[in-house]
Amino acid sequence: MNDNNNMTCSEKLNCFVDGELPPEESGDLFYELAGSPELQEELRQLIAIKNTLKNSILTAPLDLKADVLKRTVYKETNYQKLANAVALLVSFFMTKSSLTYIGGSVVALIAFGLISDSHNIDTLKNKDQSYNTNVTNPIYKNNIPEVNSKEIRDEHLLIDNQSINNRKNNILSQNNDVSVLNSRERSKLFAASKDDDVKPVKNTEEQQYNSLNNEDNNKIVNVIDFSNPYKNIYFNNEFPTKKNTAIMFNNAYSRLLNNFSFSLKKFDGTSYPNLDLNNSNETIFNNISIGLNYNLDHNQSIGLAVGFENYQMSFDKIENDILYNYQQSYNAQWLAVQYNYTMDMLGESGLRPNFNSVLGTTNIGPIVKLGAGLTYVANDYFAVTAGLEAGWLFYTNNGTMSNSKWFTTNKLSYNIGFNIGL
Amino acid sequence: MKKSFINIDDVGLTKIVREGKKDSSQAFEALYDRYANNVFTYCSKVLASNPLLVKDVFQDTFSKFYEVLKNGKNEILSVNAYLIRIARNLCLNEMGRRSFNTISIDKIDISFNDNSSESKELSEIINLAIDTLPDEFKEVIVMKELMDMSYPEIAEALDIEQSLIRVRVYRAKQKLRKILEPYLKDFYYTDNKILG
Repeated sequence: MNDNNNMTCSEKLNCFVDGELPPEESGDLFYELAGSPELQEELRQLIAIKNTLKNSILTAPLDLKADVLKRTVYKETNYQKLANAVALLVSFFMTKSSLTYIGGSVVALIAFGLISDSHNIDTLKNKDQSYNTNVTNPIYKNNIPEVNSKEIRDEHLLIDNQSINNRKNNILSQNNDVSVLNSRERSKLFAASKDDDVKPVKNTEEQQYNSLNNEDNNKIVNVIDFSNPYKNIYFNNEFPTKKNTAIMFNNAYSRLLNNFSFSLKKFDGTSYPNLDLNNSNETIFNNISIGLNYNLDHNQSIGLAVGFENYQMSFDKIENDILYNYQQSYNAQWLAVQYNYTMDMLGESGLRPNFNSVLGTTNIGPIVKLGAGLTYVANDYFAVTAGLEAGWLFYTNNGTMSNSKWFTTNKLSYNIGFNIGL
Repeated sequence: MKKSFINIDDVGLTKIVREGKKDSSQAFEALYDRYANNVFTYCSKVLASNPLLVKDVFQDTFSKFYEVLKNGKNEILSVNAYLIRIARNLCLNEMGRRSFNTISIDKIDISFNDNSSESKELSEIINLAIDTLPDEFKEVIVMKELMDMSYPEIAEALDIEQSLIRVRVYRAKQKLRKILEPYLKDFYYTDNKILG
């Protein structure tokens, strides 16, 4: 600074506190300081202000990062948008038969996987949500009710500048025995904005936080939980909610695509009547179903499914005044709508009970299935399911609706499968 | 993946983004991680009276910054200062477009309840006091005290002389002292925590 000589002692003192005073000027300042109680008082006040504001920097809400990257580096090109739209149309309208339905689904899946990069943003967002940054934004305090939330961060994600700075300052404050005042860092309000998903904190964790919050020094509140790395990531919650989707995507069809999941189930069971007949020798397309689901919300989804399932049938038929009892093993191909209700996670186990219903048609009659089971949420894109189900296949003795008698085959099955989020 | 960018300085990261290399997305993300809190703090304090705009301005700031990097026209000496300059222009645009409510000094009427919460209350008082400052003082205090920017960095962000920054910071602090004098005295004469 060329005009340092023109500065008053008060200005020099201000520069000194800011660390901007050249060393050669310090001697004069200290001399003045020693003889002036007013300057000493001013110094105390300036240091008080500085220390109080130290580390008061606000933390940007986590959802903003995904928004920003979506608008910049992960911006969809027109080609990608077109490909996504075509894939969606293919998956919806190629449903005239089972095979074309499968074909449509496969085309859609390939298109989603190879062309769309939207899922990169989702992954990124999920990483962000696993940060355990103390997000406190005082400007929102007056606008939203005070709530507590807690995010889990993986240890390898601990590196972010704010945390490093906080830790440095924490170490400095402890070493120098100086208490740095920082009420915002100790706020209970972890949710950064009114748009954030806020998950309630359990009592034990809340108490833990409160005990940390009540400490006078500026400790970082990091609770790292390694018991279940995915306990905060709910399979359905990450792609079905309107809120999340609105944050992530700007255009309607991308929003739509983000709510789809793909399911595959393999099942086996016993038909009633239980006949001593061999099942279909079809190795792949037997006792299997493939579905495409649209997530309505955190718990519910609807979808279309195609299945190949072996039923043993027994029915009476009169031919030439003779009553015959036909028994056969039939590999029913069904196309159905399905509805799933998945309950909230059981504690922190990663398990979510689910209930599902299927209503469809085969080429011999309608089929109804009801089931219940458990879904294990492996990560935000993959879940394993297992459960029990009961099925009813209705059919007539002569293959037509008129002048015919209806028969029913019940089937109890167990099933295992998996869901993949798109 | 992020760890590989820790040792790369801002110039290196901006170069990677400009050249559109394979890692350009991660490089931009690394820049975001470094300065998102600063930009958010600036926007939040400057637009304190209209918090709904903060997110929009924040996002626009990084969008414009990305465009600048991709266009590669302007040389960026300090990413931090450059981002704040963009944010400042956007904030000024918004403030010119809308009417903003100013916070009166009279509203700073917080009495101390007990000793244990004094430091917290003082912090709240100081932040409220900052909100009452005129914009030209508020932004330099925010940059200096909250964001810990140096005088040269602030000068670059505001595109004015360093000497003027020094004067503004000084005057801003004098105003703050004047507002806070009773609280500060009360605080450190009853509880000497601040000075250790």
